[in-house]
Amino acid sequence: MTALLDIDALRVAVADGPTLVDGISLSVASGQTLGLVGESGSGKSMTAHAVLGLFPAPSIQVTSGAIRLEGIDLTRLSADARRRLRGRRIGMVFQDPSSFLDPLLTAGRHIAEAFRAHGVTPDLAPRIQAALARVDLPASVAGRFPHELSGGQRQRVLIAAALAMDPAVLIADEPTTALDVTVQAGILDLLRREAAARGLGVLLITHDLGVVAETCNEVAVMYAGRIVEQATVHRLFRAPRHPYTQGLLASVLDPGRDAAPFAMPGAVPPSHAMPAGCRFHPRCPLVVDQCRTIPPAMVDGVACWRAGA
Amino acid sequence: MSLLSYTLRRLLHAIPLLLAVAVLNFCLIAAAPGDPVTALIGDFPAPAEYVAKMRQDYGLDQPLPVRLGRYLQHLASLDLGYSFANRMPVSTLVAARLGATLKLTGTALAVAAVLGVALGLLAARLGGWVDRLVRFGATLSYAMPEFWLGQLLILAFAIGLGWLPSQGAAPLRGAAAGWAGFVEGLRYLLLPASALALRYLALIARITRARAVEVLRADYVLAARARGASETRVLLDHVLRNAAPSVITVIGYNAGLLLAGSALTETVFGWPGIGRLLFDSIAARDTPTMLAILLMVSASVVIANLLTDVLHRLLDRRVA
Repeated sequence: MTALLDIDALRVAVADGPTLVDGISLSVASGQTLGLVGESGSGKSMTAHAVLGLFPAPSIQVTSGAIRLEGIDLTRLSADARRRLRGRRIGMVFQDPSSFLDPLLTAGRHIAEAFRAHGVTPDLAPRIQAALARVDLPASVAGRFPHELSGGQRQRVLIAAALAMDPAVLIADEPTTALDVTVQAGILDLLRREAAARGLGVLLITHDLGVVAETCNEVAVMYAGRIVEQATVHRLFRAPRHPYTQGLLASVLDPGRDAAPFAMPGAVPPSHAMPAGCRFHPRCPLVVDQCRTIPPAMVDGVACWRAGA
Repeated sequence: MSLLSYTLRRLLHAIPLLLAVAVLNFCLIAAAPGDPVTALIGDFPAPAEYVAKMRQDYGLDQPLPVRLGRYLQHLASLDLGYSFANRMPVSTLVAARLGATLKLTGTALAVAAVLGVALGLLAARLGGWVDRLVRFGATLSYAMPEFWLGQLLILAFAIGLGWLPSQGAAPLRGAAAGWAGFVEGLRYLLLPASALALRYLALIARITRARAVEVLRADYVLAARARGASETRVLLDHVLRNAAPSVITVIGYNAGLLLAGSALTETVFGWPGIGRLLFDSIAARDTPTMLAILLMVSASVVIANLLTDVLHRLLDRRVA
């Protein structure tokens, strides 16, 4: 498997401020869906912003590491070269489809924008129809305004716009969080189909382990800006090794289990007050002295001193 | 509700509103001291019987409700009355002056809208010192009354530098024909149009900047960038479009500002328009002309507001 997207020791920080993403490495291959899981504040969305090259504030920057897309290191490209890759080689889908669609533009105009941004101007009408058909929407949706569409339809329009130029990689940041459960399944199904049929590499960012189980091949669990465990979905769900992953899995409501879901004590530490050593140690049930001082390295897919203990 | 039925309904609502405005104006002017007869006679020592006879001839001896009733009756048949001071029908008088005012206000509106939107977008996009400069300039300009600014412009460009004429809309000898005449007209237009446009421009620049800053932070702008849209396209396709309803609302609802400013500007620059006519008619106690112009101004504001709401609905389909 060749990696389409290869993130290597990426660090993202606020200028003169805290580090938000602290040396993470990930890779997404063609046809693969990688889940990036973590609580809010874990740095998973910042990772997506870094890949796209669009941070919410200009003071947030990639400070070291590489992001290679089809072999090209994005962090070394000019702003305009990155813009030309956005939408063409990397697509992005966001959490809340209602706020990510321009209220004054029709669905068709959003898709047309993706084509026009990359110089594709002839035959836009049939192209827009094809893009809509790809996400199972009728051609009539092109003329509708966002407020005339349902939540699921809006998300499909955003996916259609993101996939319009046939990108190699799609980043989906909580794509189903704002949707009804029944609608979620359809959207996830669509992402799975694109990955399987067209070899699209998907980086699926979510806090929902159910979504991961349903959609991903591989999972990386992020905690406080670092990846603490990475494994195939099958292995991670069967035998989680990091205490944080174990806590996450135990906190999921499971009708087949007698015990009540486990509520992990504490919260993700704020980025300006990261604990020394393993960042999970203040919340870890297995903590030993070593955890408080020396950060564990990633060995065999898990970054924990007590893994296997 | 369709746009057409909405527009018709709004037009129907405008009729009682304008009627109320007409009644109010009439009563206000009736309550003011002096009348056309005293203004006509001036300082001439006319006998009291003569004055009384004139008042009787013009119907000014009648009680207020009777005069008001007659005024409204004439209005209903679109008769604006007779100007004592100018000795011609008010409609003829107004029609002769309307062109000059439309030229002045139209130019000022166009300049204010185009430059105001451009400066507002620029300030929002670039931020930093450009933003601070635009905001400072806008606040300063908005605080400057037209008549004062007009006189400063005359001092600087007409008297000091001698570049542009300070009075009137055309040379006294009459305008030249063709292209030369057009250029000559622009030279006369430049100073009064600038004086009139500045406050409006400041207002438009400020609202454009405020809305554009908001839109630039919107999620859908991030999504557009994620599709590879360039900053120029983001500005034109998303920011301008989403700022437009607010900007148009401010432009439309402040049309009164432009008309009031026009009266002052025309007076300072001797511009032969409606505003100047209003000023002169007040000085001459020319009640019919005053009433006609005040009613026209009110009607213009009502129409401007209606146009604003219709445009707003066209731009944003969510407005029910």
